[in-house]
Amino acid sequence: MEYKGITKAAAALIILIIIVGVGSSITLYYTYINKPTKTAPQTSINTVRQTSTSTTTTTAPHTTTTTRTSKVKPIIVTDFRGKKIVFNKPVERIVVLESYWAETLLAIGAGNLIVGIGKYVKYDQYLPEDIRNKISVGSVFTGVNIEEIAALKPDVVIMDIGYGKAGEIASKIEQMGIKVVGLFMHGFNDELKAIKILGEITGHTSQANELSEYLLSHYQKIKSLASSIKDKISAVMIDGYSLLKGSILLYSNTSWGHAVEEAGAVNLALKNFPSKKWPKIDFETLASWNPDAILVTSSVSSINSVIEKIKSDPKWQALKAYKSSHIYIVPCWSEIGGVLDWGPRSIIGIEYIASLLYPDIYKDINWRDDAEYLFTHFYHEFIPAQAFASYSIRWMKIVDMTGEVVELSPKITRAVDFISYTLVLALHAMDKIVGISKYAKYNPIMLKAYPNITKIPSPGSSFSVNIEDLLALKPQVVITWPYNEKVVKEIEAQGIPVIKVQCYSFNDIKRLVWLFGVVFDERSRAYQLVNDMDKIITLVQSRVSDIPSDKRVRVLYLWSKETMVQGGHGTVNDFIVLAGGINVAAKDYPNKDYVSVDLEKIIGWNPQVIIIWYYARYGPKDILDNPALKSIDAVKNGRVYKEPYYEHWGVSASIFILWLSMKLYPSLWSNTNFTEIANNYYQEWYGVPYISVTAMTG
Amino acid sequence: MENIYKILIVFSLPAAIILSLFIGPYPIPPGKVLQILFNALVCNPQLGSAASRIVLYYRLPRVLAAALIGIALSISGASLQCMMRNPLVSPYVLGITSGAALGAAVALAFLPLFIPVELVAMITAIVAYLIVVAIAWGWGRGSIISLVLSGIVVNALFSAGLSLAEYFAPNPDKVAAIVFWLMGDVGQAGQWPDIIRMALIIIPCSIVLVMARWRLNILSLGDDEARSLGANPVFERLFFASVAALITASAVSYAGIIGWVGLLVPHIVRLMVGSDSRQVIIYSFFLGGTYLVLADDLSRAMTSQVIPIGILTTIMGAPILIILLRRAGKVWR
Repeated sequence: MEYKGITKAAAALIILIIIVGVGSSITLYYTYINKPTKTAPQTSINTVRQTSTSTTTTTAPHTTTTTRTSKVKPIIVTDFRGKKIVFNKPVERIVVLESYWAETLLAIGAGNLIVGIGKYVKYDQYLPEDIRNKISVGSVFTGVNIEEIAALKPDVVIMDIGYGKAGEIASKIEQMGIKVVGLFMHGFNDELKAIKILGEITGHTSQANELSEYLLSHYQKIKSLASSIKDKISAVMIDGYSLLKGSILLYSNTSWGHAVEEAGAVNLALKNFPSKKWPKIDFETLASWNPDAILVTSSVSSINSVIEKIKSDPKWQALKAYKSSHIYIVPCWSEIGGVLDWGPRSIIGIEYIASLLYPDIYKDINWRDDAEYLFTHFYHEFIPAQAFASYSIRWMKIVDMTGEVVELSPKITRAVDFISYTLVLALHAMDKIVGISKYAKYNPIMLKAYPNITKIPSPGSSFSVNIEDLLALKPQVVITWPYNEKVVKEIEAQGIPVIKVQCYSFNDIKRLVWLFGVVFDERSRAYQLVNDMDKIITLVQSRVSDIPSDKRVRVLYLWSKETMVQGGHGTVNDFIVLAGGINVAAKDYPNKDYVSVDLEKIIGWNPQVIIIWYYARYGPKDILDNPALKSIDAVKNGRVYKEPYYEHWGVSASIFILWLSMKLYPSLWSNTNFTEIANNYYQEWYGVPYISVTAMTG
Repeated sequence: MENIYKILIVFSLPAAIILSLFIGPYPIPPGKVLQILFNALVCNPQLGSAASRIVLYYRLPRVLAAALIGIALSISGASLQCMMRNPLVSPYVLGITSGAALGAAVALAFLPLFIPVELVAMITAIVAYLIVVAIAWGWGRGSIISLVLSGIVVNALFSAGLSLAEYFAPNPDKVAAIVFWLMGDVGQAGQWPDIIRMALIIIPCSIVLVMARWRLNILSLGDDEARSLGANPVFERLFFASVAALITASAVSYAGIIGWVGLLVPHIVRLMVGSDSRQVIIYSFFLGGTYLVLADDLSRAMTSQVIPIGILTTIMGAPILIILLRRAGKVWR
């Protein structure tokens, strides 16, 4: 349509020149720069043809090419500019300029179609690395590299429309014969509309419907609960970044400004400046409005500075919201922990705001679990509830490993830790530990990597605690394994919050990493650690996932006694499964962490490999020499091993899984240097090489 | 009636042992078990199959271990009850259990792997007993009351030591290992070399006690009467107590603490065959073995997991004793 002024011939000529001229050099460039993606094997000729067909259909029907595609019903969508765009077939190569649309694509199962991204997409931690590593083509703010886009040969470019240089950029791209779908988010319903459009053009309509339904059902629940609120509280939402810069910018007629209203409050900014998007006000205006509650947005990494800024400014103490402790922080953008953003996560942001403003009305809304479900189910990324905290300027609320919400000081500088201490070390948070379990002082990794451990006071352990010693340390929080419920109660009775740690699977260990990352404000290290852990698991999976179930090695894991076996529940069982093995005891004892069995059971299971727990007082020799066990495969083939020291509920879990997999399938791993991988990993996370720890443990 | 009981008791031990060889989670038909045993007896054990290994290297030694431990605990209990003229005495009154427990805990928590737990437990058990004797000797010239009282003192002391060892254990899982040890497990002594070592102490010592049952009966009359019959009650008591202590120590150091057998079995025997100590000692030998063999069968076969036998003997023992006491109230004086 936009080519109305240009003749058909001119348009075709321009496109032909561009494609022929740029095509060859770019194909070369592209193959060098980009890793071959799933869609890359398409030959350049094929893609050129695609481009020309799509161009011709928007300009004028070209009989020679359309005959091939005429049988397929064309896809027609209307984007947010009101423009009709026609696709002859579902798009296969997408350039997406904004992270939230990339997230939306990911959530409808079209993440693998993304071939190029906007400049800021790579900072979106909710996206998997293969999307974040795609070629960057610029942004709506700073301008895009049109040639780069053309080189990627996208079927469509998805981008924001309606601000910045967006319109100009869109038409430039379209002049290259590349289709543009312009999106925008002015409220929650726009997300649904965007999902529908993206579902249609990618052919992922059913997934799009599923996502829409999920988001809508949650949105409607909020709306219906909000409608029951009689006396609505007044609130404003301030841009925390402007606050740090010394001014006050409010969210008014924007999707975030509307989110405040959708949560059931009166947004005073929207009331006073109904048409403005981001009105700037001075403090006196804010004081004169004196809202019941103040929400301050902040990127995840600057939450503490925003809280500091507000707390250190005496004039804020005059506000009603300050006195009544109704100043909340809303983590936004795309670092993990951020809940308010465009895209599918917008529903989590609304839920978050709602639960802060009306904790009683929305008590059944569990925004953290909804977030986890959204990510695992739609993003196919494991981002657990433990990665999310809610904040006011006085507290932070996290959910511990037992699913309980715990209220803590927003900035932890004095913690007592009775469990998973090596994880604190890995996150570089030992300076925040004022007390530690007495057992930490015997932990081989701690002794090697943190010799100062002996100087940290020990007020007890998960099993018993000396309350007076504990109180003398003035801890803000105690982290413990809830083995002894009495210990937990005793500490809580002193008004000290307790975080309970309990792991049953490898995913639980990732939860734990996030939990510690949030509590100790070391999120970026936690993020990196979870990625590193996953990388090793991915490596293991790449080797073992093809093994058919009847070829999988049958493993038995033995604890303190030869007859104390690992059942089908708990971390070690999960490790065995991830390593590609079959836990022989899992079938008979599916719900047991460990269980004492008759030796005959073990003989009946006939395991092919036996692993002995590090702390056991017996070794492979005792098993191999036991005449009663001579008939089982593991003994016959001498495949009985003692585990080197690994912290199961900690960073070394993934190295344990790798070690285990290599013991199960030595031939699959013959070309892998375990010591090198383990050394690098330990060096990165513990600061000492793996061999130095094993040298200590023998 | 008593004679029938006597015959029953004597034959119950071999019967229980043979019966137990058929019990276990690994499916082996009884005929196969007998065949395996026969082959082994004619010195032609076919060790190729898992079944024959299970029978010869697991079931048989385990059952024999249970029998030996049961014999050890009940015969020393019977002798001690007799010589101390006190039905509440069990082998554990001499400080042996808490001694062994402390030793095992120290070994499990602190000592390097190559030092066997049984050895340390055995040594500390004997040390604990020697302390009891020393105190009893210095305090009351080896009288009954001084032995019992010093036993109580030493028990308390070593129990505190056990708690201390648990508290200072460098790893919570080691504490768990100690707790499991304390609950007792016949399987810990389930290999032939262990059984031979145990048998070398338990069998000769038990024979000594059985042969000397006359003298023990004299001791049970009281020191003055014993002296008038020409015995040296203090020396003899210490000698026989030491033999009983040695038996108990060897059983406990291998199998952990298995409660109530030494207290209960002599009482059952007494209710069945009368209170003549000579009889009680002989028949405790047999019934103790039977009791523990059956208890071990239960611990293995009752559920799909193994219940620590120390718990079972106590749970089974208490109601059995109550029933017997009710039915035979008149026998008891």
